[in-house]
Amino acid sequence: MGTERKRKVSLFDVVDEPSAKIAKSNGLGLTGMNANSSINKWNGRPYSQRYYDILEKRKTLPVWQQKEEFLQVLRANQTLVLVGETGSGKTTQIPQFVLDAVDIETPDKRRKMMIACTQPRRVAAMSVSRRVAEEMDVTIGEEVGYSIRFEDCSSARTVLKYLTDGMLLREAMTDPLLERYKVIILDEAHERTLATDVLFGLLKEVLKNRPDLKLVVMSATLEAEKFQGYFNGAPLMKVPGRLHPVEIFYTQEPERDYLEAAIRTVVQIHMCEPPGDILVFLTGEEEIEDACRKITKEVGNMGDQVGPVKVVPLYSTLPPAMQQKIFEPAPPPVKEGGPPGRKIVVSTNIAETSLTIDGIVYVIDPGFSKQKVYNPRVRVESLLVSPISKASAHQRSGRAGRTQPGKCFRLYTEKSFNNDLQPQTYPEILRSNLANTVLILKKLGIDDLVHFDFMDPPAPETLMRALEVLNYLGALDDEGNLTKLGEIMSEFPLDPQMSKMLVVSSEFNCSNEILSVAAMLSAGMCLRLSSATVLSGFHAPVGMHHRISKQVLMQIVSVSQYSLMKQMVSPCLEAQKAADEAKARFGHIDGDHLTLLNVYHAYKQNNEDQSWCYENFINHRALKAADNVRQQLVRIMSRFNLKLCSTDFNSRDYYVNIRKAMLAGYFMQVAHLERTGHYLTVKDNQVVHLHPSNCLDHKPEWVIYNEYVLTSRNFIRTVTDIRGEWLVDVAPHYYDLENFPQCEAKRVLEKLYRKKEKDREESRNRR
Amino acid sequence: MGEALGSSTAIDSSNIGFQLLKKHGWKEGSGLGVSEQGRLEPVQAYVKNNKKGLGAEKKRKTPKPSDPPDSKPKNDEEQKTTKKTKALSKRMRKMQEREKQMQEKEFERAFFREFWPDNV
Repeated sequence: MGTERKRKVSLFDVVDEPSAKIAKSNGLGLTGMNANSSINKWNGRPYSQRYYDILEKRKTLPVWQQKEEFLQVLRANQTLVLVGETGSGKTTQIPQFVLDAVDIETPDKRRKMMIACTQPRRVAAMSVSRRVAEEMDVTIGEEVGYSIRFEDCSSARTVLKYLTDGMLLREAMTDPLLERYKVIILDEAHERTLATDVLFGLLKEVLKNRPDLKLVVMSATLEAEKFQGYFNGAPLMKVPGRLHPVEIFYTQEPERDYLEAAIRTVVQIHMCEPPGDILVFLTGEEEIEDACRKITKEVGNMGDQVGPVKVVPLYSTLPPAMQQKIFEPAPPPVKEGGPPGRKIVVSTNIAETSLTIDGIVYVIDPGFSKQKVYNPRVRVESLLVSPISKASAHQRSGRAGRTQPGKCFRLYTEKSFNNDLQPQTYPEILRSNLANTVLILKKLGIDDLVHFDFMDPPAPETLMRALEVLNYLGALDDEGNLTKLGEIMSEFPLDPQMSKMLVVSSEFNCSNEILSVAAMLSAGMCLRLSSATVLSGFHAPVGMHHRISKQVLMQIVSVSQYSLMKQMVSPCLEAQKAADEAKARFGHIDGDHLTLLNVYHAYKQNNEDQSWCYENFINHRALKAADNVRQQLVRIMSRFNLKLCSTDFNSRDYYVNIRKAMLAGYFMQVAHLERTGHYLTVKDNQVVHLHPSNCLDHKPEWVIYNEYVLTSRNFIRTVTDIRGEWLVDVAPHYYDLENFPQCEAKRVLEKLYRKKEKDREESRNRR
Repeated sequence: MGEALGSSTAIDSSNIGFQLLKKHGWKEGSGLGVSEQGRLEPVQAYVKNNKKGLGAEKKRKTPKPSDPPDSKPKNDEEQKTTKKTKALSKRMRKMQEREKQMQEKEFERAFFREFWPDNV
């Protein structure tokens, strides 16, 4: 019997459509079909039980209702816009629908074409691809993979690849028509990240040249019609989200302190409203940690009349394990029949669209978020607290209606909502430094930057600044053409300043060291005093999330709640101690870049040992990431035959060469110490202060800095001492005095130029 | 919202970036994009360094004369009227100052009425 059935199956494989249907109707075909579909067509293995379990759940996602409709529209059009709320399942399901329906075979039997699905965030690309690999019952990195900066987890077998939008842009540099892809899906298009916006313009061109390529633009409700117009009237498909009604409340008067108001509202909800979790939107790490403590304290003070709470912070720099906590259920009542517990999530705007937390019934929205801004006139890119947009406010309130009807408390008046909020958040391209983008566009062969098909073109001055920077760095010549140097620089997935520093480092005989510095910097290892106490990259023994700022400490002390103080102060002091210790061990008096180098060297000398890291207050995870980045950068260096070399460590020039090489990239980020005792940035003449995290033991006359931080005071962070003479040697074209505003730095430079001239003359006379 | 970021002088024609953009076919006074429809001014940024709620900033503006006259230009249209507002706010400030002086005098008088030996 068994053998006979088997034979029949193989028979069905060759019969044509109509007879297959007949076979199906007599019942025999059905078994055959089942046997057939129990084999995974991607890896030829039988499906696991887990596959079927997940499949059942997948089929309940809203997007499955429209699978056929979607595929029909896809077949009939080259571009389509799909609108669906988070939670509709579009990110995980649509790429699989496409994969099932589109022919990805190539003449070459061994290779298949791919489906790409872009994500604005690295974390999303990684986690979604893992999930989809699970759903398809394949191994991650094989048929389903992901690709993010410094990490490619895909293979020749990969047919579906999740990647950051920035990575797709990078791929276009080597594959201008993106010929390895059959369908490209731009997900989360409403976020309008810089890379997504550039991809828009680029893909419009590519689509003209590749009729066989298809594009799916996916977005949450916002701005869908704008996309449609931009993509020449591409059809629009809507996937309904599962949203319950949300009641919106405004305040009667503007709030004097939104943080205080938010905390008060949390407490009120907890006391008076029926069960359901709370989501509070705040602006940043410090504020969130502060709020979490205060909420816990306030609720704790109320005693047994109210249920227990679990207060969970959420922001992007939080370690992944801590982020997972938001998915834990609310705590049970303290005693049976007692008031129910509640989960309170205090989050940045990552909970606005990209992360869905089930069980949220109440949303508190103070109306602010931290947004990147760039002003080409001051040349500073920074994260600033700004009012959100109406669209964001709408999105936030929607988070309350995911599981049941909810409530949203806006901590501003209805009038403020109407008058003070703009309809949409400015797309990132209008708020960013475009130096890197222009370099990429140039490499892509787009020469008419002025008429490039931007959905929202940036201001002319932003582009001027980008062209200026690239010209000074030598990446563009005076006609605006890409130079050989510029071409090499564009291959590094880094800021142009950093790429330049790397490319020229061999000339300064220190490329090994510069590679380490660059890796440490781009792995986010800036020496920063987070919450004014802890150096990130170094860890506090008690755990990073217990950090506490001095101001908070002062507040607590003045409230003089002794028990609380005992809990809070010790981690703070521990953290302070850790930071001091780490500084004492690895600090380099000439600068933070050199300190980073010391840390990296020590890490390598101790065989990357985890317990050594722990004992020395070093964050092992961050160092490992830096090491990985370094390997990737070494690969790019060797691709262009850039020599890997070092100056003899005992030579007096060892650190001098490193500092000079850094200056060759960062000569536009220099500050000069004025006689009055404060620093002025060169050419822009902005008053800045050395960030308190610095490791210097003195105030150097000239410093280069890695980052300009805008807060109540303007700080420069990650600074290194350099010499005025080097400015004149390394970057005379930038320090040309004709183009220099009148200031102290100019007068010092004049002296240096005169001295240089004199030295030259003297040596000439001697000859 | 808060103080505007840095100086507001546009990049001038001596700048190499300015010249390069012109070499790329840009015409002064026009925007970028397929039909040169892009915005002309960069997006303004404001530094907010307090916890005042949304809409609470504006209220403070009237009683506190040291505030910049237009700390909240929201769109291009409003920026055009900046000059007018400046003149207007100057007058406003003068009026406020006078009012403040009057108030102080009034307070003084009240103070003396209260504590003048006659009263005791």
